[in-house]
Amino acid sequence: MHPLLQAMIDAGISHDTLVFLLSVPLVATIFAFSRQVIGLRSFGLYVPLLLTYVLLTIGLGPGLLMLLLILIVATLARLLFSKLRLLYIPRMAIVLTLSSAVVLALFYLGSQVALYKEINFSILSILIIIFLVEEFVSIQIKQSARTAFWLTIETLVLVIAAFYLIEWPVLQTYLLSHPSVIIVGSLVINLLLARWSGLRLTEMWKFRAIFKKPKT
Amino acid sequence: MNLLRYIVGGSDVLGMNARNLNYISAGYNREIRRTIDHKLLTKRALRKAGLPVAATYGIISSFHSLHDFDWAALPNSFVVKPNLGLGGRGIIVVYGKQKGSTNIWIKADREPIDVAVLKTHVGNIIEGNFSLGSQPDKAFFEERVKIHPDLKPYVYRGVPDVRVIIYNGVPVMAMLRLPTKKSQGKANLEQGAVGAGIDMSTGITTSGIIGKGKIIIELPETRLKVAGIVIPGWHEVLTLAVQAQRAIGISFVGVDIAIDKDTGPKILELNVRPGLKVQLANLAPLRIRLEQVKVKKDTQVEQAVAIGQSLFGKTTNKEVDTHSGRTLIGIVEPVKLLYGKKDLKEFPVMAKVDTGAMSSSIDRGLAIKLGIDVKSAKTKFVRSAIGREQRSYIELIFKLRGEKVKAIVSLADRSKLAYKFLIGRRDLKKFLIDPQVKRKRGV
Repeated sequence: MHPLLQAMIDAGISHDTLVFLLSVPLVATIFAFSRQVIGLRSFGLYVPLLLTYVLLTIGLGPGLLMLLLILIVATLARLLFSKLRLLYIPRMAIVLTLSSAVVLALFYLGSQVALYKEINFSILSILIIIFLVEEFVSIQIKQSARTAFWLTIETLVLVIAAFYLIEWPVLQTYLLSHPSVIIVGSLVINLLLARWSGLRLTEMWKFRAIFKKPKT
Repeated sequence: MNLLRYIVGGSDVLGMNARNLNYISAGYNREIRRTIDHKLLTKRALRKAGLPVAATYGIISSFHSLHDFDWAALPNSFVVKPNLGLGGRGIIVVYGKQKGSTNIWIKADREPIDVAVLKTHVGNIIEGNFSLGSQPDKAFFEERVKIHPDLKPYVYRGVPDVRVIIYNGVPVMAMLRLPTKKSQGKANLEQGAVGAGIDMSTGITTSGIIGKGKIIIELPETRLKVAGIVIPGWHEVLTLAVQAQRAIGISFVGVDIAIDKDTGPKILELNVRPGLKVQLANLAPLRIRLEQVKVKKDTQVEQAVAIGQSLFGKTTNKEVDTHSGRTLIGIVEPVKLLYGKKDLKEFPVMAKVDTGAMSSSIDRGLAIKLGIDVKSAKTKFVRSAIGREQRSYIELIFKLRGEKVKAIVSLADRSKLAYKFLIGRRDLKKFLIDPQVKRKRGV
C-alpha cells in the first residue's frame, strides 16, 4: 500500500472508492487502445466507463440482466412507435418511460423473490442504465438496428473485460501500491495513442482484399 | 514482417487514425469546416465561384416555416436533405408525383410518401436528428439531377454520382457510386449503394464493392459487370472537382459530382471526412497516393487534373476502347494457360482469336503435356461444319492481356496447326477485336 493511500484509508475513505478512482485511468486507457489500435467501436468513452461501474456496484449478473431487459423493451417500444411518425425527443421520452416502468416491475419482482432481495439497486446505477438506453435507441434511429446491435455487443465485451480486470485482486493490490505508475503510465500511453496513425486491426481485416493484391 | 510494418504505421492503406490525424485535422480551419459542414453554405460558396451546383427549391429552417411551406410549389421530383447531415442519413429521394394526386409522391423505392410523412421527416431534420452532434438543423429541397443515359442501365433508381478525392489540389482517387434498390435511390455506400473504382486516366470503372465493402463482379439483380462502365465527360468531372476544392480552399476533401443528361456535371456536396472504402472499390491503397502529392505545388487546374490522371491512372500497356471500356485485341494473341493442381503455373502460348467458333479449343497433346486430366473430360455432341460430332471438354483458365478468363475448352487435334490454342467467341466477351492491333512480342 502506498503511504499516501494508507493515510487516506486511515482517515476513513473506503478501500473500494480508491480502487474505483485509480481504475478509471486504466479502464479509459484500455478503451482508448481498443478503439485506436484494435478498432472496436463503442458508445464513446463515458458510456462504457459508466456501465463498468454500474456492474461493479450491482454485480455482473443482475446488471447485465437488467441492461438486457431494458434494451429489449426499448427496442420493442421503438419498433412499436416507429409506425406512428413521432418526433424524436417525445419518442425518446416514451422509450425512457417504458424503461422506467420495467425497472419498477423488476423491483416488485425482486421484493417478492428472495433471490434478488439482497441486491443493492442504487438509484444512480439504475438511472445510468436507463440513460444508456437513449444512446442505444438513438443509434438505432439514426443509423440502423444492426449498427446499434454490434455497438452494444462490442461495448459489452469491453465492459465485461474491464469488470473482471478491476475485480482481480492482484490488480487491486497493484493499483493501491503504485498509483503514480497508473497515472503517469496512462498519460504516456494515451499521448502515444493520440498520435498513432497506423491501421487498426479491424481495418486490416476490412481492407484485406487490397493487401492480397500484388503491388502494381 | 508485413504485419509488423503495418502495425508501425507504414501501411499504404489509409486508415481512420491516419486520415483523422494527418489529413483532416491538419488541413483546414474553423471557417472552412463550417462552410463544408453546412451543405447550404457550401453550395453558396460554389455558386459564387461560378461552379455548377444542383438547384435549391426551398429551405425550411423552423417549425414556423414548415407550417407555412407551400408543398404544392415543389416540382414533381426532388431530394430532401438535412443541411448538416452526413453519410446520406435523412435524405429522401422523391421520384415523381403519384398520378392524379396533389400531395402524394413516389419515392425512389416506388413506395408512396404523402405530405404528412414528409412534414414529420422535415420536422425531425429541424430538430437535429440527422445532424452532426444533434444540433438544430435546416432541411432543404434540391433538384434531382436528371440521370445521364449512359449511366441509366446501371442504376436502380435515383442518381449516381462520382466521388473524387482531392489532396493538395490534385485528384488522387475516385469512385462511381450507383444507387441500388436497397439504398432507396441514395448513392451512399452506407445505405447499400454500389461503389465502383475508377481508372483515373480513362474514367472507366475497374472493380467494385457494395454496401459495407463486399467485393462484387456484377451489379445486384443484373448481369451487368461493375467494371468497364464509362463515365461520360470524365475530364470535365475531374476538372470540376479540382475547381470545387479550390473554391473552398480545403486540402483534403471528397467532392461528389452528378452528371446531368442536359447540363453536364454538377457538384452535389463536399465531404471533409470522405469514407475510406473508396480504397476497396478501387482495390488500391490511398495513403501511398496521398504521399505522392504531399508536397504542395502551385498548379493550374488543367495541370492538376493532368497530374492526377498520369500519376494515378492505370499503367497498363493494354489498349482500351474508350466507348465500351473493353480491351482491344488482335487476331493472334499471346495467352497464358494456367495449369497445375495447387499452385497454378502459367504456360505461354500463342492463340488464334476466332469468332467463327463458339468455344475455345486446345490441342490434345498440349493438354496432356500440361498434365490436364483429359480422361475426365466431359463429352458432348455438337453440330459443326462437318455435321454431328462428339467432342470432349475440359475446364481451363487462361490469361489474355491481363484478364483472367474461365473457359470450357474442347480437346482437338491441333498438332498440325500453327496455333495450339484457339479462343472462341464465348470466351471473348471481355474484349473487342480489332484486326489492326499488333500482337505483343514475347509472350
